[in-house]
Amino acid sequence: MVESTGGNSIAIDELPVIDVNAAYAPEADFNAIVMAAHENGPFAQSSRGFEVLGYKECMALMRDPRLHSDHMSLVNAMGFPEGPAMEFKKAMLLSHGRDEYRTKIRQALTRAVGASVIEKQRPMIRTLVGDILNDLSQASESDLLHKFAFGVPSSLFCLWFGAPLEDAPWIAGLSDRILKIFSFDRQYTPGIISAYDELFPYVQKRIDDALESPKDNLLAHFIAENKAGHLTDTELFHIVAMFNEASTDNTAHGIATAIGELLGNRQRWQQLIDQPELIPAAINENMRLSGRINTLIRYASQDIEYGGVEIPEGTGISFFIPAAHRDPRVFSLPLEYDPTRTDAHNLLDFGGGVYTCLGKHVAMIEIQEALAELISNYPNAQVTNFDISSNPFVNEVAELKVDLVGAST
Amino acid sequence: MAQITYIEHDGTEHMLEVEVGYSVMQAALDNMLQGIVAECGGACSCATCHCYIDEAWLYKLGKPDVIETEMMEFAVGARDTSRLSCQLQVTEELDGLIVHLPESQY
Ligand code: HEM
Ligand code: FES
Repeated sequence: MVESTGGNSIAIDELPVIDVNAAYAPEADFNAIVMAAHENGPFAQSSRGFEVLGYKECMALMRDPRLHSDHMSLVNAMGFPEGPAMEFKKAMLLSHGRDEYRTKIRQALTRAVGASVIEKQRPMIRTLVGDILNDLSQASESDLLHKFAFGVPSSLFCLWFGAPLEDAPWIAGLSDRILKIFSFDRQYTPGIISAYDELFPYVQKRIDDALESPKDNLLAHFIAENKAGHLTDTELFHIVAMFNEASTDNTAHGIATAIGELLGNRQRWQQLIDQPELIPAAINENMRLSGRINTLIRYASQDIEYGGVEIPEGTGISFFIPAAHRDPRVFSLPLEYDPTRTDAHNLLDFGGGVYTCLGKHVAMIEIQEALAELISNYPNAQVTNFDISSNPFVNEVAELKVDLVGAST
Repeated sequence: MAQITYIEHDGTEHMLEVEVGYSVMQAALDNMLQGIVAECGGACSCATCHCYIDEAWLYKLGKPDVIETEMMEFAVGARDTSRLSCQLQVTEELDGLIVHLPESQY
């Protein structure tokens, strides 16, 4: 048990060991491994280094100014060659630490998609979701993963940036290829680079078209910020490119997971049919137990002592999010799904502090509206095939097939 | 619309007409006010939109929820009158609200 005794701190290699890879082995009992680890305290060591399992400790360390994110080390580990993709990575938001650029870009994004402004787009998003659902075939096995879960955020991208809606599947494909960077697996690097090679001219075309014939959309908002001197031309370009990778893939998996897990469980689904006002809480609770992100990594910018542990400068700090979401010190009956729980806390799936996801609100609106439309149009739908593949970094929905008309026929 | 007065730590006052449904943070950011940083964009995840509520208004706002309370622990210089402005949704009843901005959010 690690205690904060002040002065008597211990080294990381003295911490209890957790085998994170074993927790993700096909036959492993993930919950049992994680709950056993919690009994040894909020910290552990693994082959990855320092693991933070405690919810409160994740919350605090994600916001600790002595830690930083380091996207470029991932880019370098993936072996990006010199070229436009590398230049983009070096310049864009993700690669900036706590600097003025970060604050400037994040404030510009908040003016564009912050909680209050984005709430106004809920009716538009609801219509979009409804249209996509209407277009789905009611064949016995609808592919809701590609047609619906990926369709919603990629179509929203098209509306936001003035692209034809027919481009949505291609947009989704690009985002999917680009986000393979988080696999930490170099076999995906050529696919990532070629996706950027396709994305960059496409982004430029969107901006050129918008300058020539302006529409009332998100791109117009960013162009206005550019004209007012709040964003440079390059920053404008990078923001549009970044929205492709940031807004599509994670949201699609969020939609598919919510449908797979909630529709896949008759009791949970019936509760939402009876009490649709529980939809937002049910999505949060499901995300707590079955989220997209398994590990977020930060690095110590200096020598740190935290919670009785010495963390030397440069140490990689892995926030083991599904463990933190099951922390028995914070969540009562942590393994139970309970959308009415009163100890609901901020989810860690969107990160924290100066790096927090800026799309959290729009992502949540998309997931909520997707579920609400499905419940009101197809209450009797049935999941026929749902498969999630998991690794220590992310969970990916591999398949989601649904019989939309379901039991009523 | 509700009129909200933001008072910076040096006494500079800004009076804004804010649309109902907006957060106190969003209006400050849209108008480029100094004093609210709002690094997380209103995700209740950074505590850099911290403000002090004029005592007279405190009870009208109701109590912060568990997520805001939890995040307030990370606010610099938090007091009994502290709130996170991204969690304060503007209603007609808040017409006349006065919020004081801290000297620094870090
Ligand atoms: C369920 C869907 C989503 C999940 C799970 C998710 C998750 C994340 C995570 C974990 C981070 C890093 C946070 C950290 O290190 O503390 C992040 C960053 C980011 N996300 Fe999301 N995201 C989602 C949807 C979106 C959407 C829809 C958008 C845009 C509209 C978006 C825009 C961003 C941006 C711009 C960043 C970079 C922040 C920075 O480095 O300053 N995300 N997201
Ligand atoms: S803007 Fe980050 S907590 Fe309010």
